[in-house]
Amino acid sequence: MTADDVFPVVLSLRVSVAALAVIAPVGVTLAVVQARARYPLRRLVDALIFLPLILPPSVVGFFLIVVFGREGPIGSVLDAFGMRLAFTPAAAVIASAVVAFPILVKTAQPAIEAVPAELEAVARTLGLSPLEVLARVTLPCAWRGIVAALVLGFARALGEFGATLMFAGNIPGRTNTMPLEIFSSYQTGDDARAALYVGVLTAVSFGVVFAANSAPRMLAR
Amino acid sequence: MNHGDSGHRIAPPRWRLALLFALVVAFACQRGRRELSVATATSLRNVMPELIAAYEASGRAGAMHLTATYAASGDLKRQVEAGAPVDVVVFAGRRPLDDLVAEGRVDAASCRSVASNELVLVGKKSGPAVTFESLETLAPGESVAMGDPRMVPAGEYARDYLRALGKWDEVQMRAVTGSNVAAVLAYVRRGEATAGIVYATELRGVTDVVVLDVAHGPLAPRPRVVAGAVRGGSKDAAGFLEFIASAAGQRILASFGFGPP
Amino acid sequence: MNETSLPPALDARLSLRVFDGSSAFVVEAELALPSGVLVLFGPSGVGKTLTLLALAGLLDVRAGHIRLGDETLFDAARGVCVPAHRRRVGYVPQGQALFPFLDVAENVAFGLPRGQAGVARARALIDELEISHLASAHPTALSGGERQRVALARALAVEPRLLLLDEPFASVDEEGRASLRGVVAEVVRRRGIPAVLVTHDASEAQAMGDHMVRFARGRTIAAGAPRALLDAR
Repeated sequence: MTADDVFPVVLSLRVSVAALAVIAPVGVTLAVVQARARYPLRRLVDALIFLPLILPPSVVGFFLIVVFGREGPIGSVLDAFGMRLAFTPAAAVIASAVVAFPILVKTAQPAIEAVPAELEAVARTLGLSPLEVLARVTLPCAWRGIVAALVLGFARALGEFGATLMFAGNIPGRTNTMPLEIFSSYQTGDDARAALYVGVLTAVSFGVVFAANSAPRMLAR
Repeated sequence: MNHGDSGHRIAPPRWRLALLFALVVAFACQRGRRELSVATATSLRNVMPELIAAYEASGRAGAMHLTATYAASGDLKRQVEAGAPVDVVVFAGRRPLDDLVAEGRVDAASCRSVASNELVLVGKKSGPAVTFESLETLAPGESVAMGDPRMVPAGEYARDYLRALGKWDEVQMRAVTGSNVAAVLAYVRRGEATAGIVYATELRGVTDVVVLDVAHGPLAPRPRVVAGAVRGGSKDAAGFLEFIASAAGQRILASFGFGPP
Repeated sequence: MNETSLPPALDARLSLRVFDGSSAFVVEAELALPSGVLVLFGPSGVGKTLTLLALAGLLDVRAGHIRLGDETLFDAARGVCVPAHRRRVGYVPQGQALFPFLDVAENVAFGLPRGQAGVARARALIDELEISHLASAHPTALSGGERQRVALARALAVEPRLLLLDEPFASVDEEGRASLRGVVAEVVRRRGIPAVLVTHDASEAQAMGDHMVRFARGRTIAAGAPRALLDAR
């Protein structure tokens, strides 16, 4: 195993962790908002959150490159500041984050909705502000669902292929995550190398799911 | 079951569905002698339709219908190895064809060189005027697009040429790899890459991108377009191969900027 | 004479509307409590619980006012609305709503600041309500009557100025009911705070209430002494 062989493994893990770090706070917050708040455009926001989940990954990739590419509306602004996104590891993070986001929100949201409103009501009468209620009642009640949401989000980020291929490219030594590398290795006839990453991805996925299932038991009082 | 008068009035629906299914499958599987499939390197995506049209118009095709699929030569080789129904392969480099011959998938005797090409460095008109030798002077944020050397002959040519020039390490740091030459050109046209390494034939009809440098000298690669007939494919493959190599075929290739074989 | 110069413990007029799917349920209530325990009496589904929620500040009220002693918690006309977490109104819901992820002592101490003072205060309340032996028990292991006592202790820990109880004896067996009634009456009396109690049970209303208000189909239709209201059918 050379450094070249190890690179996709390390890259995939770093990209997925970074993507999760971005979508976890935003996604959980949005899940809370969508679960509890009632505002005029709520249905529309719901649909927009759902969108990257049902769009084919190549469509997501296309949108990303059109918007964030060097000549795109946002990309050109970034370029003026010397920031390039397309075909960089950052692009892989963005692609993974975008496709994992809906899964995270849609898994966390029902867990938060399931928290009995009565518990939150009593907490308010005991003097807790809405934010304190969120931190001391809602999240402690819903934490299992939130952990599940994080796990699923991470798994989706780890396995992302189509959007990453289009937005970050499949550049050896820079953006070749494991799913992309499996594809390239197979294409060039190196089945053994492809099998290596298939094995790693499967093992990591099992590990993550197993940890997520055991965590509630281990962390329970 | 209702036997009624005739005794066969209502057939059990199951066997009718099975028959229908079998017909559909048979129809789908049937390639027939009527179709010739040509796996073509992406760099010939503009000239191949012309070659096919001319071949069919010439009458030599008979009742046959030709279809072409386009991808990087390495990708096409992989598809043939996996058993894709291909009759003729037309690649932008020798190696994938030699590999298929060695694997016994392509008939060695049918192989021939049908055209040649030039490797060029291209960029936007408004961009910096770099050359192959001066690519390393590009700012670190600027990218150079090229085909993935593992699958795209143009990428392999580029890598070998840059290695010979001693510039490969520098350029590799700035490289953005595309899965075929069309993708490489698109990166340059879209502004994602400041410069790209493609074939001279790619710029036909393209105005926003210009040639910055041509690979020249004894170290320069000599890209060849090669073709061969897939073993077990249609017997009419040879006829099409001959047409490409004929004067008529050569004229068409030349009109698209390809050099002689 | 002296009584009329003091403001009533609770004086409220409420008009609210809740949506249940596609239909709206309107509640119009008028409550006046000079002092002591006010009973909200009526069959289920007439708006008694909603009135409690409105008093606690947990429901939007369209019109009316809520005055607790000489303080205004809500006045639609003048645009005053104190948020729920500042009203200092204790609420014991019908299902007690004990936090399942905390034990009894932690539940009781929930609204108190962290530290020794809070712990001591929680302990005092647990002792007062005679559930000291359950301090580290889990809510799911308690009987109906025990849960009520924990919920009550929790509500009283933050020194509310008004206590709201929704069908407090519903989940308690016949035996426990008598002692629980005594406990509730005692804690309210000891602190001198007014209480509003929801029930559909006539004997309970009579036993606990100093004053009573009768509900029917979302409106308060009669007010007065429990005895008088219950006799007049």
